[in-house]
Order: sequence, then structure tokens, then C-alpha cells
Amino acid sequence: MTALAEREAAGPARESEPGPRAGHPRADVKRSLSWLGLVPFFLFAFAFMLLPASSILVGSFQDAEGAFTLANLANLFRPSILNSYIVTIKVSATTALLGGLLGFLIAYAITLGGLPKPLKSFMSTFSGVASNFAGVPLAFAFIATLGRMGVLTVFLRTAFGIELYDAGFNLYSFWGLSLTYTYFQIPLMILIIEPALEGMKREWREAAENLGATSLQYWLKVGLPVLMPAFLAAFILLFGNAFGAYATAYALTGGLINLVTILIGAQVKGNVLHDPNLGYALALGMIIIMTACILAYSWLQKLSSRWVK
Amino acid sequence: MAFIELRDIEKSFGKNQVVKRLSLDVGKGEFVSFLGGSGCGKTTTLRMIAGFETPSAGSVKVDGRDMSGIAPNKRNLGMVFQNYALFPNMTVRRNIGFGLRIAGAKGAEVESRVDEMLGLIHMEEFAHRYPHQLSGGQQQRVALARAIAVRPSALLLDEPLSALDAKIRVKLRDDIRAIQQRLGITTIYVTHDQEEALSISDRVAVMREGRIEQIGSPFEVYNRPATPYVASFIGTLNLLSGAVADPSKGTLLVAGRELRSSGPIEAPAGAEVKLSLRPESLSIGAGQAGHNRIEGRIESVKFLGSVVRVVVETGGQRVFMDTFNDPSAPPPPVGSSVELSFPPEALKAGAAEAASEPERAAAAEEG
Repeated sequence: MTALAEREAAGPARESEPGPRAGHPRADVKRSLSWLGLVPFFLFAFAFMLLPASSILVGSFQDAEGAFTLANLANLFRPSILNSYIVTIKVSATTALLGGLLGFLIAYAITLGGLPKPLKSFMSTFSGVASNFAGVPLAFAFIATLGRMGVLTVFLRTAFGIELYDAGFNLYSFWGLSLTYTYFQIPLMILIIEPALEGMKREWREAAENLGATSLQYWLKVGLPVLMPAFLAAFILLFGNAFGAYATAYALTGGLINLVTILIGAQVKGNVLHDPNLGYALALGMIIIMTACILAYSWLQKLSSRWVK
Repeated sequence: MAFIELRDIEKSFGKNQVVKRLSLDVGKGEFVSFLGGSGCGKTTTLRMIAGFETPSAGSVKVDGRDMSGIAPNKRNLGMVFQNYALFPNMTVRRNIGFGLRIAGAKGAEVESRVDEMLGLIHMEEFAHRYPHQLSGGQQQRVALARAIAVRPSALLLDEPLSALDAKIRVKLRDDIRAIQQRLGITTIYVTHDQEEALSISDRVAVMREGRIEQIGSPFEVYNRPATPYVASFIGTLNLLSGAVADPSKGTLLVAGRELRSSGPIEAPAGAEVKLSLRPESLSIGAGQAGHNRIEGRIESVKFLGSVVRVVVETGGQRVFMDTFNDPSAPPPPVGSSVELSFPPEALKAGAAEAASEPERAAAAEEG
């Protein structure tokens, strides 16, 4: 009855909507100018993404004299190098999960938790700054706070008699590094997930409640499925963010933790381990892993967002 | 006995009291509309019945059961929202079956009820579509089916048609009324659209500043407005200025003419009063014996489809007259002189509190 009538009613309105028409000379000129605006991006991507990537790809298959070799790739399967990939993936996944979870909870509190608006504004600004606070300054800040003679370590010792390092904590270990990474992972998660949370309609929750659902049922059946594509996107971004980090780890641990990025640095910078081509192969391995992650993300996102336009 | 009872309910947000000692009885199977402008408290009242807002004072009872302290998910009231509120991650079928699955209904029972609901809203072929693949009207139809699938004790609709096109609005409101009558479900409908409220309700509650100004059948509310505000809010109203001639006889002087009103006037002779007159009570010509007559000049003629609105200037005042469109009898040309007549009972003396449409239109034209 009505559906057909509605479509018929809506049809002409859509057809008469104004907009640039295909084939119209002015529209074509406008479109050409729009493409022109993208030229700087393409130039940048070519110069600083495609060329280096090509260089990495070519260098991975060359020896020191420039001759073709598969030795660099074969070396990636050496136990120490394989271990560095495993450690890097573990650090990245751990901090993405930890930062993602905590960031989500904070973002939830400031968007849907009914906190005062000024606090929300402050948190957004703080997150923007904190998510970019990484590298040597971040490492130093953590050493000054949680190092063996750090402010907090000393305070806990003198005020409460708690010896952090005797209790098993070590800033220069896997968990110490992960803790340091979460400092920029949490605010990054807040920045990414906040718009998605803002998009959650209050009426969805009320409709679910009205239909008899508890808060948990609402989140399991509506809230989390609706947020899943944003969650996956956020996780992959956080993972990538930690996967490529170098300066923070290097400044904090001085190479004690065997991350791939630190290994690449050692091969390229020309210390004892100088072997740029192995460095290229290591970087290629990272590119392959990130590509695999992005492909997995695309697949999962398709599965989780069949309902998205 | 009333099925839904609101007793002296109040609601304040901080210092702002939006609902003030509101009481209302809604009978079983009745369709009552809350009609009023923005901020009159109609949606807040509905949300207090649904349980999304807690009354600051007073009580809400449904089927004799006090709803105080009962969470929205335990009230068994179906609600339809202005923006549909369909779950975007679920198909039409899953949206409709959501409440049933939450209630623990088994697969076959859910499927059977969902099919029944899809038939009720005539959307069987859209069962596997997602909300974004539907038009606004279709989405609202699904929202209605979802709300009634769980067999709620009453249905609450919060401006369900305000986001839709005019044509679809008219069609869907008739569908809502038909479904409500078929199921015999007690319904409270919130709207700011008087035509909508008057056309589908058993009773209309006209609300203003957190109170019910008048409640009655659409016929009563329109033809016998209890207050000047209701008179000016419902329908189009001419507001004229006149002087009382004889209070006991109910006669007045308007533009030099003596007119008879519906009854005695509670004002002394010579007092300036406002007079209200519905545009559709006026007709061109001398009318019947005993009718009031005024003369004027046609200022404009507005074609509104089935109705033609003639604007007549008389003694410095502007009067609207509505008449049915008759292709064989076009209205007199603009600028011509015309005599208008109307029965005395159509003229009511008393100051209206809100601007009527003619006044607003005049202000807009002058501004």
C-alpha cells in the first residue's frame, strides 16, 4: 500500500534535486579544479611514501654491492629477528588493547556520562596534546616519575614503604615500555572514539529500555555492535601507532627491549651491526605485517558494519 | 475507571518548572493527544509516563498500578520516537523482534509475531532491509510495529510524524489511527500540529506552560474553546477590536456597525473588547435574517487547495474568510467591495491571549 506510494512520492523530489550535472561544461571545469587541489597530496605521497617504499622493496633484495639476493629476507627468520617481531607485535597489541579500553572508558565518561561540558572541552584539548607527546621527552618524563629514583617511586617508598622495583615493576621492561606507550595511546583512543560515541543516539538506548532491555542488553545488542567498526578502526590505528614507535623505546630502554624499529635503527645507523639491506628487509617485514593488519581490519569491518551505508 | 491516571504531576529541571500540577485520566482504548507549542511540557509529560523522567511530584498510574520507582524496561509501554530510533545494526525483521527476544520469546513465536506485524504495516517485502535503506515514513512504520509487537498495555507516540513530508504525514497518521482502533490500544500522542491532533484523537488536551488548558473532543475544543488561548491556538481566528454597545444584549460596535455576539458581555457599555470570529463562519453576501453583516474591500485572495482564503479590510481591520473552493464560483476580484455575514453565535467577546494567524500574518506583512 503505502510503501509504493511513498517511493513514488519521493521519486520526483530526488530527481529535481539541484546539483552539478554530468557533462555540463561548468561542472567539468569545477571537477578538474577540485582534482588540482589534490596535487600537493599526490606529490607528497609519491616523494615520501611510494619512493621510500620502493627503495625499501628494492634494497631488501640487494646485497651490499647491489646484487640481487634473498639472504636479507632469509635473515628475517633468524631467532633473534623473529623474536623482535614477536615482541613488537606484543607491545603494540597490548598497548592498543590497554589504551583502547581505558581511552574508551574515559571517552564514554566525558561524552555519555553527563560530566560538565568544560571538563569535556578540557579533556579533548588535553588528549590532542598528550597523544602527540612521545619520543625522548615522554621517556624522560617516565624515567623522572617511575625510574628507580623517580619522584613517584621515591614517594611510594618514603610515604608508604612500597618498593615498586622489589615488587616486580621495572620501567625498562616490557610492561614498563607498555605503560609508557599507553600515555599516548589513551588520548589517541579518546580522540578517535569520541565522535563515534557522540553519534550514539539517546533514543536507541531509550527505545531498547522501552522494549524491556537492561543496560547490559542494550550494550551487547545495540551499543557495541554499532561502535564495532569504530572500535576496529581505533585498534588498528593504535596498533600501528605503537608498531612504528622508535624514539620512546630507544630513549627509555636504550635497546634493552628487542623491538624491530630499534633493530632497523641499529642496522641503518652504522654501528657494529651496520647492514642497511637487512634494515630494508626488516622494514619490509613491518610493511607486510601492517598490510596484513589493514586487510584483516577491512574484512572484520565489512563483517561488523553490513548495516552501514 | 481510567486506564492511565496522572495525578498532580509536576516536573522541574533546576529552577524551571515545565509541568505544573497536571492531572489527566485516559480511558482504556482511548486515543488522547497532547497538543501545544514548544516548551509547553507535552513531551516531558509523555516521558514521565514512559519512565524516562521522574516526576518531581504527583503520581502516574497505568491500569491501577503506581509507576513510581518502576524502571522504563518494566512498564510494558510501547513508545514511538520522533526520529524513529530504529537500531541501525538490525534489519527491519530484527528491529521488530527485538523486544520479543528480550522478553525471552522462542524463535518460532518471534518469527510468527514479526510476520504478523509486518503484515499490519504492509511492509513484508522490506523485512530484510536495514533502516538506512528505508524512507522516513517506512522507518516510522517499522518503529510503530516494533513498539506494538511486544503487546504493550499502552502506546506512547512522541511527535512521530514531525520529521516527515506533509503527504506522508497525512497518510501515516491515518494508518496509526486505523491500527490503534484495530488493536484497541490506549494511546497518548504528542504533537504540535493541531490538524493532526484534531483529525485522529478521541480527545485533545491543549497544553500551555506545563498545564492542560482544555481537554475535550476535537469538536468541543475547536467549537467551544474554554479559554482565549485555546481559541487562538486551535485553528485560524480573526481577532477584531470593538466597543461594547449593550452588555446585556451582547451587542457591540465594530467599524461603525452594530453586531450581535453569542451572549451577554461581561464589560460595561463603551468598553473596548477583543472579539474572536472563525474564518469559516463568515460568508459572502447578506446571509440569513438575523445574521451580522459587515462591509469591506477584498485585499487578497489565497488559494489553499480545497479552501480559498479571502482577506477583507473593514474599518481599518483585517478579516479572514474561508470558503470551500468551487470551480464554478470563483471569488470576487481583489479590490472589489464585498458584504460579509455571519451568525451572532460565531462572534465571541473576550481578549485572546495569543496572537492569531491573521494578527501574525498582518505583523509579518507590516514588518
